[in-house]
Amino acid sequence: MLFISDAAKCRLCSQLSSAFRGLLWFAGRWCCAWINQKTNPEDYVGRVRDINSCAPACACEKHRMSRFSPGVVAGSERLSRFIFHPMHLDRRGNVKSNFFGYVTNNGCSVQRESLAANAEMSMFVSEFMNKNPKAVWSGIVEAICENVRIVQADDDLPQGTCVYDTAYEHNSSHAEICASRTLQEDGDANELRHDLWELFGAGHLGLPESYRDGAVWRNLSADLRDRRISK
Amino acid sequence: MAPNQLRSTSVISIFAAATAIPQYVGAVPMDASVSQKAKLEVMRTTADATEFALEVVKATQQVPSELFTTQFVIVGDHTDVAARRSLPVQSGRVAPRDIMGATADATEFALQVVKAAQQDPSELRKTQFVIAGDHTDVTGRRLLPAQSARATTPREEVIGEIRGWINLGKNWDGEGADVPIPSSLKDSEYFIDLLSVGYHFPEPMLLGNGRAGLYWNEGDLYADLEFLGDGRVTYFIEHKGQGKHKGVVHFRRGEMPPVFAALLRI
Repeated sequence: MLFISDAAKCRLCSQLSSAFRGLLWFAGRWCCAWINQKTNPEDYVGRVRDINSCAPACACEKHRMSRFSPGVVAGSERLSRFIFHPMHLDRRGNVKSNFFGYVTNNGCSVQRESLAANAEMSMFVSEFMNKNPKAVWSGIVEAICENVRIVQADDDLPQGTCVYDTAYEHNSSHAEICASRTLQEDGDANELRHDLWELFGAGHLGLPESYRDGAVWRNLSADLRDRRISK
Repeated sequence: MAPNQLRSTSVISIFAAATAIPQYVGAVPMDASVSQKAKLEVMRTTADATEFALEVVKATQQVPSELFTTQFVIVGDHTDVAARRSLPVQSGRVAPRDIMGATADATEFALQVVKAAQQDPSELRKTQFVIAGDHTDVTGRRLLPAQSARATTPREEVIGEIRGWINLGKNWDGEGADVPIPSSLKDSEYFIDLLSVGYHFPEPMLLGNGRAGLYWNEGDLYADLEFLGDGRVTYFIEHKGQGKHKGVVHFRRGEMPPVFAALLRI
């Protein structure tokens, strides 16, 4: 939640958002970087809501949101999302729709395939698994960015999701998919999860051993590779 | 033997103490083979009471006359150890049920069985009481071992998985997930209870916001339900080639909202 002192900046950004694409691009850049930095702490509640409040209509897709990012996410880029928790898999080992649940609250993390080298991906996987002792890398799902951006949870919306370049210092290929507005609790969130689930392979996942011809998998330590799912 | 005579030989009582964690005080009959373990026993949890009730019922099924020496009294309303559910005093006849997904259900049922059998001993002979598989109690802190060899049913599997989530803490998925919301988990359990045997049981799912959901991806059916925890359920249901439906409905325990009966073809 934004503090009162931040609300004024948020309002300013919101008012400037219409000019984000025009001459005031620098204002947009400042706003987007500020919003990202402000709403990024791990314990922040309502990141997607506050991004939409400060920069509506995916305005920050046109600006770098993180200083670690090499640039905004292009429509042609392939995005991958890594499965680490058995809760996201069904009895047959396919991905469930809750895997995309973060799109409406914290943002749904993805990796930009064209940016990250195998070593960076291995480091990302290793860091995540080392931080979360129960995490098991079960596989990945992929989709093209421009297809993600045309997902519509509501027929009245031209764009249901935004894709932002929210890179980290050690993970420059990190990006996020966020709902383009705060959804009402009327089934829109359920539909958005479904649409992303369908777009990212309708439950089918690529195995770690075959992702990038196994290069990322091979770079992991033996104990991380040996982790098994225990429900 | 008349009920009055039963009461006169009353030896087992369970009382609810007016404390946050109810205490159950039970005593077994002096000459009973129901339980040799205690003549006077304090049961501090619902699970203990359940176990004792099971012993009573099991013994009386083997030797129906055993019940005649036993009176099983429940005083007041009991809450379970987590104070998340009340077990109201039950009266009337026993409704036979084949599957009990919850230990709390088993407790409730055991109490009904015993009470009804006290009023009409022949009632017991009409009743099947089966506890199969390992059940955790509502807080997931104690196991009741299997009482008979029967495979866990799909319903029990789903409910068991949902129950296990209550122990998850914040950030259970490493992506910043919220703590599971008990009222949402409960609503999803109640929903599962309403699905008929033979129906395609859904996959339970926990969302990053701490809410429980149910998910179907079977044949031409895709469905995603989210239990908001305040008695409402949001849904998106699609039958491939036949259109999709979404919305929000109110859900009350024991009543399947008509929209789901129609769309999920339950």
